[in-house]
Amino acid sequence: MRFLLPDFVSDALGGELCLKRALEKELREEFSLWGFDEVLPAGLDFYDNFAFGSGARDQRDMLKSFDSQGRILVMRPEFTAPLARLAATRLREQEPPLRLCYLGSAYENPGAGSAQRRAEFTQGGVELMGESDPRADAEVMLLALRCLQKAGLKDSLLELGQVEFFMGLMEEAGLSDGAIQSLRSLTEQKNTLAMELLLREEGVSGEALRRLMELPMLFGGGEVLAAARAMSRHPRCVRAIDNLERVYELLCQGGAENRVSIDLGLVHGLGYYTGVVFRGMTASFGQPLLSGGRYDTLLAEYGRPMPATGFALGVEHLLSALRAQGAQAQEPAVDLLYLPLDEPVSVTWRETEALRSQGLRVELCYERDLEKAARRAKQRGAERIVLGRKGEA
Amino acid sequence: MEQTVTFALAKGRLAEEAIELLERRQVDCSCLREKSRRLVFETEQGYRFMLVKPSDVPTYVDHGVADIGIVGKDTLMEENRPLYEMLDLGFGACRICVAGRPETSLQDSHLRVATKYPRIASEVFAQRGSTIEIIRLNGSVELGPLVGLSDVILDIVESGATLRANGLCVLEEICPVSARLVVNRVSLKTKAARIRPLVEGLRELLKEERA
Repeated sequence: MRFLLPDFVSDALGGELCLKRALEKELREEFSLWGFDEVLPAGLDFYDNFAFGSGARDQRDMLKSFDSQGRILVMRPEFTAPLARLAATRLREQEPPLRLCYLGSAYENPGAGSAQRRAEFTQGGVELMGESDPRADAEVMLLALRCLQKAGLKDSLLELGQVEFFMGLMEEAGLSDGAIQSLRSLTEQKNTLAMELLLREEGVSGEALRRLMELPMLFGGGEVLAAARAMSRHPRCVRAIDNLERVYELLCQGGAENRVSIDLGLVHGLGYYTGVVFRGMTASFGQPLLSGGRYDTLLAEYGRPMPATGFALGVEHLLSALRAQGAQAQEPAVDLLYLPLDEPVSVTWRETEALRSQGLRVELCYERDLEKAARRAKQRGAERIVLGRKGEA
Repeated sequence: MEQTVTFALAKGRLAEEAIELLERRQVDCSCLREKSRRLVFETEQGYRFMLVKPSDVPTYVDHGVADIGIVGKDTLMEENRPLYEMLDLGFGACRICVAGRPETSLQDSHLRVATKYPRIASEVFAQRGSTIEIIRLNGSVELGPLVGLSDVILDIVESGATLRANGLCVLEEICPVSARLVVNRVSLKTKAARIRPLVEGLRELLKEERA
């Protein structure tokens, strides 16, 4: 036997795991400090729960098996859909707003779709359901920034988009649903060439074409809002920019001015986003660390219509970014090594328990050779060695 | 301190054309012209260049170890990574084609397709509802139909000379491809002050040259 692991999964241990657990602890504490209650949906779910409506996922991206009745099961691919299901079922009687958070493993078929290198990854995030107030958008964004900061990232950046602005432009241009879908992902990729070809094919030309082609490059600071206003007077676009501006102001009032930028080409490929969307990143890591936004229609598909917003954060990505910034993994360690030697065992239990109750990490060591014990203490990072005493119990 | 901007260039002809283009935009690439075995080149203008295998360019840019990549559209389609595809540089123009012996019918129920692009091939044929067997090759794909390894090939075709020399012809054109400039999603924002003017400048330059 060579005891190999399947592709795209890894064991976690030692200092790496300590760093991860410490980060998870920070995230849980932060979520809780903002009044979000943790839920842990089942890790195994029905395929059907991820295959309908606006949140439908590509079946190739999910890891599947069958239950005893032949129904298709999937390893939880994400948390938003299970939380929406919970909000509409077990939490049905709970008055909105619901502030829910999660932190756990999610799974993806690593061979399919976009280039993923993990089949199992850890995702943490929040969902704020039942609030449409722009302050709720700003709240989850500030929480997202706070999480990155608490994690120890030196510089983090949030970029904001507004899906409705894009949809307004589409409506104005009178494009078909199919074309809109294609344009959405092309805009997301800032693929101006393919956009132009598609738009020409759809019969868009002249001024309208020129305006749409500006969209992917419409990013930067607050000045982008003015440029966006100049682009369209369509009521849907105007509402979108009013809303985005409001959220941007709220974030600036929250002291995030230097860490927030705007990108109106950020439209998120996933169909269920309906309003302000955002993505978190840091200069030292090449991929987004978190993403989220407003999804006001998803919960209606579960039979409990209410607006919602939230974000999901990739814990492994965040750890990579921290390492890129020079974060050192602390190896697991103890505070002291306790050598009972010839001490009566009842004394040993009593003494070590007393030490542990002071919060000290105590490792028992049944070694008699003090030199070996000293080596062991060094290995385990123990600052002290306590020797048991001969004598009465 | 000014941020360094890192380029990943697809080794070979695309890199040569890319260097020429960048130099027309006053980006000094002279270090790349010297014969050397070095893999990374740094310039005084704050640029770093890496010459890598074409199919690795999207990987470097996706991971953010390169901020900008210059690579063929065919490679981007095959690798399918989330990148900002910002400019069509025009050079390296060719077409992705299905080719084979003139008498071959693409309606055959089960085609064997030899290709360097298994992902593109499976998508192209899936879209039209045909089932195919993909035979992955790394070069001289034209040999496939000649020796009976495959019925057709899916490959990039520039002039078609190699096909003709081997008694093959284009059976169907899938799409035109050419060199593209891609940017990492994070770098575009965190190094906007350097990357944006560069991309805009190249865009203008290309527009002028085409006009």
